Amino acid sequence: MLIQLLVRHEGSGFLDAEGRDGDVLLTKPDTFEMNFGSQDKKSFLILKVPDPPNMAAVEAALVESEYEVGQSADETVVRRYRKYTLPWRNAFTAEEKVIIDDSNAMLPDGQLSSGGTVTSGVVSGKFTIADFVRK
Amino acid sequence: MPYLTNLSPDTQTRTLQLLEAIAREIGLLPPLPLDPPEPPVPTVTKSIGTSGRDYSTMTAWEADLDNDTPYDAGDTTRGECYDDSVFDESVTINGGGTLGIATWILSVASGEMHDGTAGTGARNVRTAAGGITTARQDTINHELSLLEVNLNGNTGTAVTSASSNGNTKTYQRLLLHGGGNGTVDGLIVGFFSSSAGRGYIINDIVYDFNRTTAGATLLNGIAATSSGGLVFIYNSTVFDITRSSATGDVGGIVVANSSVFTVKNCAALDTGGDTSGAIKDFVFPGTSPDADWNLSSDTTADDALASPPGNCILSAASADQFVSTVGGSEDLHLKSGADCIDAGTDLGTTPTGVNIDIDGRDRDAEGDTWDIGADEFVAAPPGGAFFALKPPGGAAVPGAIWSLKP
Repeated sequence: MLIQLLVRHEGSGFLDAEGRDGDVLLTKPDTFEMNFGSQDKKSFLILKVPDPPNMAAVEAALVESEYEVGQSADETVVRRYRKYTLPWRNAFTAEEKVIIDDSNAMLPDGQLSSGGTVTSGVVSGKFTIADFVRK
Repeated sequence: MPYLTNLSPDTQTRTLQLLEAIAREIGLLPPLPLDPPEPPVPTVTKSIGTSGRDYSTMTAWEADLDNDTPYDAGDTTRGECYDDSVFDESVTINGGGTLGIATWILSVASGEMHDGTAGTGARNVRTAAGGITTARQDTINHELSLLEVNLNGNTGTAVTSASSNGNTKTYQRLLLHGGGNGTVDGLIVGFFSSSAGRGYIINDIVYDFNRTTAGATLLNGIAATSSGGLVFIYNSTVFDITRSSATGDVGGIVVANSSVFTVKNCAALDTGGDTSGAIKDFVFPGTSPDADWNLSSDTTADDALASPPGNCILSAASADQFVSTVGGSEDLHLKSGADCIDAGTDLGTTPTGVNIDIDGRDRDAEGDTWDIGADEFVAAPPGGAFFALKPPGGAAVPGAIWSLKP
Protein backbone atom coordinates (compact mmCIF):
# COMPACT_ATOMS: atom_id res chain seq x y z
CA MET A 1 0.00 0.00 0.00
CA LEU A 2 1.36 3.38 -0.97
CA ILE A 3 0.77 6.49 1.09
CA GLN A 4 1.44 10.05 -0.06
CA LEU A 5 2.10 12.04 3.10
CA LEU A 6 1.94 15.78 3.67
CA VAL A 7 5.25 17.02 5.07
CA ARG A 8 4.17 20.60 5.65
CA HIS A 9 1.00 22.33 6.69
CA GLU A 10 -1.43 23.30 3.98
CA GLY A 11 -1.83 27.00 4.53
CA SER A 12 -1.46 27.97 8.20
CA GLY A 13 -2.07 24.51 9.61
CA PHE A 14 -4.44 26.14 12.05
CA LEU A 15 -7.82 25.99 10.35
CA ASP A 16 -9.80 22.80 10.74
CA ALA A 17 -10.04 22.06 7.04
CA GLU A 18 -6.32 22.50 6.42
CA GLY A 19 -4.05 19.53 6.00
CA ARG A 20 -1.25 19.24 8.50
CA ASP A 21 2.25 17.82 8.57
CA GLY A 22 1.86 14.06 8.84
CA ASP A 23 -1.62 13.86 7.30
CA VAL A 24 -2.26 11.41 4.50
CA LEU A 25 -2.95 13.16 1.22
CA LEU A 26 -3.97 10.01 -0.61
CA THR A 27 -3.40 6.26 -0.80
CA LYS A 28 -2.70 4.07 -3.81
CA PRO A 29 -2.19 0.34 -4.43
CA ASP A 30 1.37 -0.91 -4.81
CA THR A 31 0.88 -1.12 -8.57
CA PHE A 32 0.83 2.69 -8.70
CA GLU A 33 4.42 3.01 -7.50
CA MET A 34 5.98 3.80 -10.88
CA ASN A 35 3.28 6.40 -11.65
CA PHE A 36 4.15 8.94 -8.97
CA GLY A 37 5.36 12.18 -10.47
CA SER A 38 8.77 13.74 -9.96
CA GLN A 39 7.31 16.65 -8.02
CA ASP A 40 5.18 14.26 -5.96
CA LYS A 41 8.36 12.63 -4.65
CA LYS A 42 9.98 15.98 -3.86
CA SER A 43 7.05 17.81 -2.30
CA PHE A 44 5.64 14.87 -0.34
CA LEU A 45 6.84 11.74 1.40
CA ILE A 46 5.86 8.59 -0.48
CA LEU A 47 5.71 5.57 1.80
CA LYS A 48 5.22 1.93 0.99
CA VAL A 49 3.71 -0.02 3.87
CA PRO A 50 2.54 -3.63 4.13
CA ASP A 51 -1.08 -4.06 3.10
CA PRO A 52 -3.28 -4.35 6.20
CA PRO A 53 -5.81 -7.21 6.21
CA ASN A 54 -8.74 -4.74 6.12
CA MET A 55 -7.17 -2.62 3.42
CA ALA A 56 -10.27 -0.97 1.99
CA ALA A 57 -11.40 0.22 5.39
CA VAL A 58 -7.94 1.49 6.29
CA GLU A 59 -7.60 3.33 2.98
CA ALA A 60 -10.91 5.09 3.57
CA ALA A 61 -10.07 5.96 7.17
CA LEU A 62 -6.67 7.45 6.33
CA VAL A 63 -8.20 10.04 3.98
CA GLU A 64 -11.37 10.66 5.93
CA SER A 65 -12.11 14.06 7.40
CA GLU A 66 -13.70 14.41 10.79
CA TYR A 67 -16.87 16.45 10.93
CA GLU A 68 -18.97 18.15 13.54
CA VAL A 69 -22.37 19.80 13.54
CA GLY A 70 -22.37 23.29 12.10
CA GLN A 71 -24.42 26.32 13.04
CA SER A 72 -27.61 24.79 11.71
CA ALA A 73 -28.80 21.30 12.47
CA ASP A 74 -28.40 20.02 8.94
CA GLU A 75 -24.99 21.61 8.35
CA THR A 76 -21.75 19.77 8.99
CA VAL A 77 -18.35 21.40 9.05
CA VAL A 78 -14.88 19.92 8.96
CA ARG A 79 -13.33 19.60 12.40
CA ARG A 80 -10.14 17.95 11.22
CA TYR A 81 -8.86 17.47 7.69
CA ARG A 82 -7.73 13.96 8.67
CA LYS A 83 -8.49 11.76 11.65
CA TYR A 84 -5.12 10.05 11.67
CA THR A 85 -1.56 11.28 11.47
CA LEU A 86 1.90 9.78 11.18
CA PRO A 87 4.59 11.24 13.50
CA TRP A 88 7.16 10.73 10.75
CA ARG A 89 9.62 13.34 11.98
CA ASN A 90 10.57 11.14 14.94
CA ALA A 91 11.77 8.43 12.57
CA PHE A 92 14.30 10.28 10.40
CA THR A 93 17.66 11.89 11.04
CA ALA A 94 18.07 15.65 10.88
CA GLU A 95 19.85 15.37 7.52
CA GLU A 96 17.09 13.19 6.06
CA LYS A 97 14.43 15.62 7.27
CA VAL A 98 16.19 18.51 5.52
CA ILE A 99 15.92 16.63 2.23
CA ILE A 100 12.31 15.64 2.83
CA ASP A 101 11.39 19.25 3.65
CA ASP A 102 13.09 20.53 0.49
CA SER A 103 10.62 20.42 -2.41
CA ASN A 104 13.51 20.51 -4.85
CA ALA A 105 15.13 17.36 -3.49
CA MET A 106 14.38 13.68 -3.16
CA LEU A 107 15.87 11.14 -0.75
CA PRO A 108 18.71 9.28 -2.48
CA ASP A 109 18.27 5.62 -3.33
CA GLY A 110 19.61 3.09 -0.87
CA GLN A 111 19.48 2.30 2.83
CA LEU A 112 18.47 5.09 5.17
CA SER A 113 20.69 5.54 8.20
CA SER A 114 17.50 5.84 10.22
CA GLY A 115 16.21 2.55 8.84
CA GLY A 116 14.27 1.60 5.74
CA THR A 117 15.08 1.73 2.06
CA VAL A 118 14.54 4.33 -0.64
CA THR A 119 13.84 3.18 -4.20
CA SER A 120 13.18 5.90 -6.77
CA GLY A 121 11.95 8.26 -4.08
CA VAL A 122 9.66 5.74 -2.34
CA VAL A 123 10.47 4.81 1.26
CA SER A 124 9.75 1.20 2.21
CA GLY A 125 10.49 -1.05 5.17
CA LYS A 126 10.16 1.78 7.67
CA PHE A 127 6.51 2.14 8.70
CA THR A 128 3.37 0.06 9.05
CA ILE A 129 -0.22 1.13 9.43
CA ALA A 130 0.14 0.62 13.19
CA ASP A 131 2.48 3.65 13.28
CA PHE A 132 -0.41 5.95 12.46
CA VAL A 133 -2.10 7.52 15.48
CA ARG A 134 -5.52 8.96 16.10
CA LYS A 135 -5.53 12.72 16.57
CA MET B 1 19.89 83.58 -9.54
CA PRO B 2 19.48 86.25 -6.82
CA TYR B 3 15.74 85.67 -6.50
CA LEU B 4 16.21 82.00 -5.62
CA THR B 5 18.87 82.61 -2.98
CA ASN B 6 16.41 84.74 -1.06
CA LEU B 7 14.07 81.75 -0.70
CA SER B 8 14.18 79.01 1.93
CA PRO B 9 15.92 75.76 0.87
CA ASP B 10 12.60 73.91 0.59
CA THR B 11 11.06 76.63 -1.50
CA GLN B 12 14.22 76.76 -3.65
CA THR B 13 13.89 73.05 -4.36
CA ARG B 14 10.23 73.25 -5.19
CA THR B 15 10.77 76.24 -7.42
CA LEU B 16 13.53 74.50 -9.33
CA GLN B 17 11.31 71.43 -9.74
CA LEU B 18 8.54 73.60 -11.10
CA LEU B 19 10.90 75.34 -13.53
CA GLU B 20 12.20 71.96 -14.68
CA ALA B 21 8.67 70.69 -15.29
CA ILE B 22 7.78 73.81 -17.29
CA ALA B 23 10.99 73.52 -19.31
CA ARG B 24 10.23 69.89 -20.22
CA GLU B 25 6.65 70.79 -21.06
CA ILE B 26 7.62 73.53 -23.52
CA GLY B 27 10.50 71.54 -24.99
CA LEU B 28 13.47 73.42 -23.55
CA LEU B 29 14.46 70.16 -21.85
CA PRO B 30 13.97 66.59 -23.21
CA PRO B 31 11.06 64.59 -21.74
CA LEU B 32 11.79 62.22 -18.87
CA PRO B 33 12.23 58.56 -19.87
CA LEU B 34 9.07 56.46 -19.48
CA ASP B 35 8.87 53.99 -16.62
CA PRO B 36 9.87 50.49 -17.76
CA PRO B 37 6.90 48.22 -18.46
CA GLU B 38 5.78 45.94 -15.63
CA PRO B 39 7.32 42.49 -16.01
CA PRO B 40 4.75 39.85 -17.05
CA VAL B 41 3.28 37.76 -14.24
CA PRO B 42 5.19 34.49 -14.32
CA THR B 43 3.20 31.37 -15.16
CA VAL B 44 4.43 28.20 -13.55
CA THR B 45 3.21 25.15 -15.45
CA LYS B 46 3.22 21.67 -13.95
CA SER B 47 2.16 18.46 -15.63
CA ILE B 48 -0.33 16.05 -14.10
CA GLY B 49 -0.54 12.43 -15.14
CA THR B 50 0.91 8.99 -14.57
CA SER B 51 3.63 8.85 -17.20
CA GLY B 52 6.69 10.81 -16.18
CA ARG B 53 4.81 13.95 -15.08
CA ASP B 54 5.35 16.38 -12.22
CA TYR B 55 2.32 15.19 -10.27
CA SER B 56 0.41 11.97 -10.63
CA THR B 57 -2.89 13.34 -9.36
CA MET B 58 -4.85 16.59 -9.41
CA THR B 59 -5.06 16.22 -5.63
CA ALA B 60 -1.28 16.37 -5.24
CA TRP B 61 -1.02 19.35 -7.62
CA GLU B 62 -3.63 21.17 -5.53
CA ALA B 63 -1.92 20.28 -2.25
CA ASP B 64 1.24 22.03 -3.44
CA LEU B 65 -0.39 25.37 -4.31
CA ASP B 66 0.81 26.93 -1.06
CA ASN B 67 4.31 25.49 -1.38
CA ASP B 68 6.78 28.34 -1.83
CA THR B 69 9.28 26.13 -3.63
CA PRO B 70 7.45 25.42 -6.87
CA TYR B 71 5.60 28.75 -6.66
CA ASP B 72 5.98 32.33 -5.52
CA ALA B 73 3.47 34.93 -4.41
CA GLY B 74 1.80 36.57 -7.38
CA ASP B 75 2.37 33.61 -9.70
CA THR B 76 -0.13 32.23 -12.14
CA THR B 77 -0.01 28.49 -11.60
CA ARG B 78 -1.12 26.13 -14.34
CA GLY B 79 -1.72 22.43 -13.90
CA GLU B 80 -1.96 20.56 -17.21
CA CYS B 81 -3.58 17.14 -17.20
CA TYR B 82 -2.39 14.42 -19.57
CA ASP B 83 -4.38 11.50 -20.92
CA ASP B 84 -1.88 8.97 -19.56
CA SER B 85 -4.59 7.18 -17.61
CA VAL B 86 -8.04 7.99 -16.34
CA PHE B 87 -8.18 10.25 -13.29
CA ASP B 88 -10.59 9.23 -10.55
CA GLU B 89 -10.62 11.98 -7.96
CA SER B 90 -12.92 14.07 -5.87
CA VAL B 91 -10.84 17.24 -5.68
CA THR B 92 -11.37 20.34 -3.60
CA ILE B 93 -9.22 23.24 -4.75
CA ASN B 94 -8.66 25.68 -1.90
CA GLY B 95 -4.91 26.24 -1.88
CA GLY B 96 -2.77 29.17 -2.90
CA GLY B 97 -4.24 31.74 -0.54
CA THR B 98 -1.54 31.46 2.10
CA LEU B 99 1.28 31.87 -0.41
CA GLY B 100 -0.64 34.49 -2.35
CA ILE B 101 -0.80 33.14 -5.87
CA ALA B 102 -2.75 35.32 -8.26
CA THR B 103 -4.43 32.72 -10.44
CA TRP B 104 -4.65 28.97 -10.66
CA ILE B 105 -5.55 27.18 -13.86
CA LEU B 106 -6.44 23.50 -14.05
CA SER B 107 -6.55 22.50 -17.68
CA VAL B 108 -5.34 19.92 -20.19
CA ALA B 109 -2.10 19.84 -22.13
CA SER B 110 -2.13 20.58 -25.83
CA GLY B 111 -3.16 17.54 -27.81
CA GLU B 112 -4.54 15.75 -24.76
CA MET B 113 -8.05 17.19 -24.54
CA HIS B 114 -11.35 15.65 -25.60
CA ASP B 115 -12.78 16.09 -29.07
CA GLY B 116 -16.19 17.06 -27.73
CA THR B 117 -17.21 13.47 -27.01
CA ALA B 118 -16.69 11.29 -23.95
CA GLY B 119 -13.59 9.19 -23.45
CA THR B 120 -11.41 10.96 -25.98
CA GLY B 121 -9.04 12.99 -23.83
CA ALA B 122 -7.82 13.68 -20.32
CA ARG B 123 -10.74 12.90 -18.08
CA ASN B 124 -11.84 12.40 -14.51
CA VAL B 125 -14.09 9.34 -14.37
CA ARG B 126 -15.47 8.70 -10.94
CA THR B 127 -15.95 5.43 -9.12
CA ALA B 128 -17.38 7.21 -6.07
CA ALA B 129 -19.21 10.42 -5.30
CA GLY B 130 -17.89 13.90 -5.97
CA GLY B 131 -16.27 15.84 -8.78
CA ILE B 132 -14.19 19.02 -8.74
CA THR B 133 -14.99 21.64 -6.13
CA THR B 134 -13.47 25.09 -5.89
CA ALA B 135 -13.59 26.67 -2.46
CA ARG B 136 -14.28 30.32 -1.76
CA GLN B 137 -11.14 32.25 -2.73
CA ASP B 138 -11.94 35.93 -3.00
CA THR B 139 -8.39 36.98 -3.87
CA ILE B 140 -7.51 34.25 -6.33
CA ASN B 141 -8.77 34.03 -9.89
CA HIS B 142 -9.17 30.62 -11.44
CA GLU B 143 -9.87 28.76 -14.64
CA LEU B 144 -11.03 25.21 -15.18
CA SER B 145 -10.91 24.19 -18.82
CA LEU B 146 -10.67 21.48 -21.47
CA LEU B 147 -11.30 18.65 -19.02
CA GLU B 148 -13.96 15.92 -19.15
CA VAL B 149 -15.61 15.06 -15.85
CA ASN B 150 -17.75 11.94 -15.91
CA LEU B 151 -19.56 11.20 -12.67
CA ASN B 152 -20.14 7.74 -14.13
CA GLY B 153 -23.51 7.19 -12.45
CA ASN B 154 -22.32 8.53 -9.09
CA THR B 155 -23.66 11.41 -7.05
CA GLY B 156 -22.30 14.89 -6.64
CA THR B 157 -21.74 17.94 -8.78
CA ALA B 158 -19.31 17.52 -11.66
CA VAL B 159 -17.89 21.02 -11.14
CA THR B 160 -18.99 23.32 -8.37
CA SER B 161 -17.68 26.69 -7.34
CA ALA B 162 -18.41 28.01 -3.87
CA SER B 163 -19.72 31.55 -3.88
CA SER B 164 -16.96 34.11 -3.72
CA ASN B 165 -16.50 37.87 -3.77
CA GLY B 166 -14.69 39.86 -6.40
CA ASN B 167 -12.56 37.29 -8.20
CA THR B 168 -12.77 36.04 -11.78
CA LYS B 169 -13.76 32.45 -12.44
CA THR B 170 -13.71 30.86 -15.88
CA TYR B 171 -15.09 27.51 -16.98
CA GLN B 172 -14.55 26.78 -20.64
CA ARG B 173 -14.66 23.86 -23.07
CA LEU B 174 -15.52 21.44 -20.29
CA LEU B 175 -17.33 18.20 -21.01
CA LEU B 176 -19.43 17.27 -17.98
CA HIS B 177 -21.77 14.30 -17.81
CA GLY B 178 -22.86 11.10 -16.14
CA GLY B 179 -24.45 12.15 -12.86
CA GLY B 180 -26.95 9.74 -11.39
CA ASN B 181 -28.13 7.60 -8.50
CA GLY B 182 -28.77 10.43 -6.08
CA THR B 183 -28.27 14.15 -5.82
CA VAL B 184 -26.41 15.43 -8.84
CA ASP B 185 -25.76 18.64 -10.76
CA GLY B 186 -23.59 19.57 -13.71
CA LEU B 187 -21.90 22.94 -13.20
CA ILE B 188 -22.66 25.39 -10.41
CA VAL B 189 -21.01 28.82 -10.13
CA GLY B 190 -21.71 31.33 -7.37
CA PHE B 191 -20.86 34.92 -6.39
CA PHE B 192 -21.64 37.19 -3.49
CA SER B 193 -22.38 40.86 -3.72
CA SER B 194 -19.17 42.43 -4.98
CA SER B 195 -19.75 43.81 -8.47
CA ALA B 196 -16.07 43.14 -9.22
CA GLY B 197 -16.77 39.41 -9.46
CA ARG B 198 -16.78 37.85 -12.93
CA GLY B 199 -17.96 34.39 -13.92
CA TYR B 200 -17.50 33.06 -17.45
CA ILE B 201 -19.18 29.81 -18.46
CA ILE B 202 -18.27 29.48 -22.11
CA ASN B 203 -18.30 26.75 -24.73
CA ASP B 204 -19.15 23.98 -22.26
CA ILE B 205 -21.13 20.81 -22.90
CA VAL B 206 -23.16 19.40 -20.01
CA TYR B 207 -25.38 16.37 -20.45
CA ASP B 208 -26.87 13.22 -18.91
CA PHE B 209 -27.53 14.17 -15.30
CA ASN B 210 -30.35 12.26 -13.66
CA ARG B 211 -31.28 13.03 -10.08
CA THR B 212 -33.16 10.31 -8.29
CA THR B 213 -33.66 12.07 -4.94
CA ALA B 214 -36.87 13.90 -4.15
CA GLY B 215 -37.09 17.24 -2.42
CA ALA B 216 -37.28 20.92 -3.15
CA THR B 217 -33.71 21.43 -4.34
CA LEU B 218 -33.47 22.26 -8.01
CA LEU B 219 -31.47 19.93 -10.23
CA ASN B 220 -29.32 21.89 -12.62
CA GLY B 221 -27.40 21.29 -15.78
CA ILE B 222 -25.69 24.70 -15.47
CA ALA B 223 -26.63 26.99 -12.61
CA ALA B 224 -25.33 30.39 -11.61
CA THR B 225 -26.12 32.30 -8.44
CA SER B 226 -25.02 35.85 -7.73
CA SER B 227 -26.05 38.86 -5.72
CA GLY B 228 -23.54 41.18 -7.39
CA GLY B 229 -20.85 39.47 -9.42
CA LEU B 230 -21.53 39.38 -13.17
CA VAL B 231 -21.99 35.97 -14.73
CA PHE B 232 -21.85 35.29 -18.46
CA ILE B 233 -23.09 32.00 -19.89
CA TYR B 234 -22.14 31.89 -23.54
CA ASN B 235 -22.25 29.24 -26.27
CA SER B 236 -22.90 26.30 -23.99
CA THR B 237 -24.87 23.15 -24.73
CA VAL B 238 -26.98 21.39 -22.12
CA PHE B 239 -28.86 18.18 -22.88
CA ASP B 240 -30.79 15.46 -21.06
CA ILE B 241 -31.01 16.81 -17.53
CA THR B 242 -33.68 14.69 -15.89
CA ARG B 243 -35.20 14.03 -12.54
CA SER B 244 -36.76 10.67 -11.78
CA SER B 245 -37.93 11.52 -8.30
CA ALA B 246 -41.45 12.15 -7.12
CA THR B 247 -40.93 15.83 -6.48
CA GLY B 248 -38.49 18.62 -7.19
CA ASP B 249 -37.80 21.02 -10.03
CA VAL B 250 -35.29 20.48 -12.79
CA GLY B 251 -33.65 23.01 -15.10
CA GLY B 252 -31.16 22.87 -17.95
CA ILE B 253 -29.65 26.37 -17.56
CA VAL B 254 -30.69 28.13 -14.39
CA VAL B 255 -30.18 31.74 -13.30
CA ALA B 256 -31.96 34.10 -10.94
CA ASN B 257 -34.06 37.09 -11.92
CA SER B 258 -31.23 39.61 -12.02
CA SER B 259 -29.47 41.75 -14.57
CA VAL B 260 -26.10 40.40 -13.42
CA PHE B 261 -26.69 37.37 -15.63
CA THR B 262 -26.12 37.27 -19.37
CA VAL B 263 -27.10 34.14 -21.30
CA LYS B 264 -26.51 34.07 -25.05
CA ASN B 265 -25.96 31.51 -27.77
CA CYS B 266 -26.90 28.65 -25.44
CA ALA B 267 -28.81 25.50 -26.26
CA ALA B 268 -30.71 23.56 -23.60
CA LEU B 269 -32.80 20.59 -24.69
CA ASP B 270 -34.67 17.58 -23.36
CA THR B 271 -34.81 18.59 -19.72
CA GLY B 272 -37.31 16.18 -18.26
CA GLY B 273 -38.18 13.34 -15.92
CA ASP B 274 -40.99 11.88 -13.85
CA THR B 275 -40.96 14.62 -11.24
CA SER B 276 -44.11 16.50 -10.39
CA GLY B 277 -42.01 19.66 -10.11
CA ALA B 278 -41.33 22.25 -12.77
CA ILE B 279 -39.33 21.03 -15.77
CA LYS B 280 -37.66 23.76 -17.83
CA ASP B 281 -34.80 23.90 -20.30
CA PHE B 282 -34.10 27.48 -19.19
CA VAL B 283 -35.05 28.80 -15.80
CA PHE B 284 -35.47 32.57 -16.03
CA PRO B 285 -37.58 33.61 -13.03
CA GLY B 286 -38.17 36.97 -14.66
CA THR B 287 -37.05 39.19 -17.51
CA SER B 288 -34.06 40.87 -15.83
CA PRO B 289 -31.33 38.56 -17.19
CA ASP B 290 -29.88 39.67 -20.53
CA ALA B 291 -30.87 36.56 -22.45
CA ASP B 292 -31.29 36.16 -26.18
CA TRP B 293 -30.15 33.98 -29.10
CA ASN B 294 -30.85 30.84 -27.12
CA LEU B 295 -32.54 27.60 -28.16
CA SER B 296 -34.69 25.18 -26.19
CA SER B 297 -36.81 22.15 -26.83
CA ASP B 298 -39.60 23.76 -24.83
CA THR B 299 -40.57 27.44 -24.86
CA THR B 300 -38.41 28.61 -21.98
CA ALA B 301 -35.51 30.04 -24.03
CA ASP B 302 -37.62 33.12 -24.49
CA ASP B 303 -37.24 34.92 -21.15
CA ALA B 304 -39.18 37.93 -22.30
CA LEU B 305 -42.13 35.76 -23.21
CA ALA B 306 -42.47 38.03 -26.19
CA SER B 307 -44.10 37.14 -29.45
CA PRO B 308 -42.06 36.57 -31.57
CA PRO B 309 -39.45 35.44 -29.03
CA GLY B 310 -36.68 37.84 -29.96
CA ASN B 311 -33.83 35.88 -31.51
CA CYS B 312 -34.55 32.70 -29.60
CA ILE B 313 -35.59 29.41 -31.11
CA LEU B 314 -38.26 27.48 -29.27
CA SER B 315 -39.63 23.95 -29.43
CA ALA B 316 -36.58 22.60 -31.22
CA ALA B 317 -36.00 18.85 -31.47
CA SER B 318 -32.72 17.49 -30.14
CA ALA B 319 -32.63 14.86 -32.86
CA ASP B 320 -32.51 17.69 -35.40
CA GLN B 321 -29.57 19.40 -33.71
CA PHE B 322 -27.00 16.81 -32.68
CA VAL B 323 -24.97 14.12 -34.39
CA SER B 324 -26.09 11.55 -31.80
CA THR B 325 -28.42 11.62 -28.82
CA VAL B 326 -28.15 7.88 -28.14
CA GLY B 327 -27.58 7.28 -24.43
CA GLY B 328 -23.97 6.33 -23.81
CA SER B 329 -22.91 7.47 -27.28
CA GLU B 330 -23.86 11.10 -27.18
CA ASP B 331 -22.22 13.36 -29.71
CA LEU B 332 -23.51 16.88 -29.23
CA HIS B 333 -21.73 18.38 -32.21
CA LEU B 334 -24.19 20.02 -34.57
CA LYS B 335 -25.30 18.18 -37.63
CA SER B 336 -26.21 19.57 -41.00
CA GLY B 337 -29.51 21.37 -40.98
CA ALA B 338 -29.56 22.01 -37.24
CA ASP B 339 -31.59 25.02 -36.14
CA CYS B 340 -28.61 26.12 -34.07
CA ILE B 341 -26.50 26.77 -37.16
CA ASP B 342 -25.93 30.46 -37.88
CA ALA B 343 -28.57 31.36 -35.29
CA GLY B 344 -26.30 32.91 -32.68
CA THR B 345 -24.95 36.39 -32.24
CA ASP B 346 -21.34 37.42 -32.83
CA LEU B 347 -19.69 37.86 -29.45
CA GLY B 348 -16.30 38.81 -30.85
CA THR B 349 -13.40 37.90 -28.60
CA THR B 350 -14.61 39.17 -25.25
CA PRO B 351 -14.48 37.51 -22.82
CA THR B 352 -11.21 35.77 -23.66
CA GLY B 353 -11.92 32.41 -25.27
CA VAL B 354 -15.57 32.96 -26.10
CA ASN B 355 -14.72 32.70 -29.79
CA ILE B 356 -13.06 29.28 -29.42
CA ASP B 357 -15.60 26.49 -29.81
CA ILE B 358 -15.53 23.09 -28.11
CA ASP B 359 -13.21 21.74 -30.83
CA GLY B 360 -10.85 24.68 -30.77
CA ARG B 361 -12.24 26.42 -33.87
CA ASP B 362 -11.84 30.20 -33.70
CA ARG B 363 -15.20 31.54 -34.84
CA ASP B 364 -13.89 35.07 -34.95
CA ALA B 365 -10.74 34.38 -36.97
CA GLU B 366 -12.66 32.12 -39.37
CA GLY B 367 -15.28 34.78 -39.95
CA ASP B 368 -18.05 32.38 -38.98
CA THR B 369 -21.66 33.31 -38.52
CA TRP B 370 -21.98 32.18 -34.95
CA ASP B 371 -24.01 29.10 -34.10
CA ILE B 372 -25.92 28.49 -30.90
CA GLY B 373 -24.19 26.04 -28.58
CA ALA B 374 -20.65 24.95 -27.85
CA ASP B 375 -19.96 23.61 -31.35
CA GLU B 376 -19.48 25.75 -34.45
CA PHE B 377 -20.73 23.64 -37.33
CA VAL B 378 -18.32 23.13 -40.20
CA ALA B 379 -19.71 21.58 -43.36
CA ALA B 380 -17.87 18.55 -44.63
CA PRO B 381 -16.02 19.10 -47.93
CA PRO B 382 -17.80 17.88 -51.08
CA GLY B 383 -17.77 14.12 -51.41
CA GLY B 384 -15.51 12.13 -53.71
CA ALA B 385 -11.81 11.48 -53.88
CA PHE B 386 -9.56 14.44 -53.48
CA PHE B 387 -6.08 14.62 -54.88
CA ALA B 388 -3.52 17.36 -54.46
CA LEU B 389 -0.95 17.50 -57.26
CA LYS B 390 2.33 19.21 -56.72
CA PRO B 391 5.77 19.08 -58.31
CA PRO B 392 8.36 16.91 -56.51
CA GLY B 393 9.62 18.76 -53.49
CA GLY B 394 7.37 21.69 -54.18
CA ALA B 395 4.04 23.07 -53.04
CA ALA B 396 0.66 22.61 -54.66
CA VAL B 397 -0.04 25.43 -57.08
CA PRO B 398 -3.66 26.55 -57.22
CA GLY B 399 -4.88 26.92 -60.77
CA ALA B 400 -2.01 24.94 -62.26
CA ILE B 401 -2.83 22.77 -65.30
CA TRP B 402 -1.63 19.18 -65.18
CA SER B 403 -1.69 16.66 -68.00
CA LEU B 404 -1.60 12.88 -67.58
CA LYS B 405 0.22 10.88 -70.21
CA PRO B 406 -0.30 7.20 -70.91
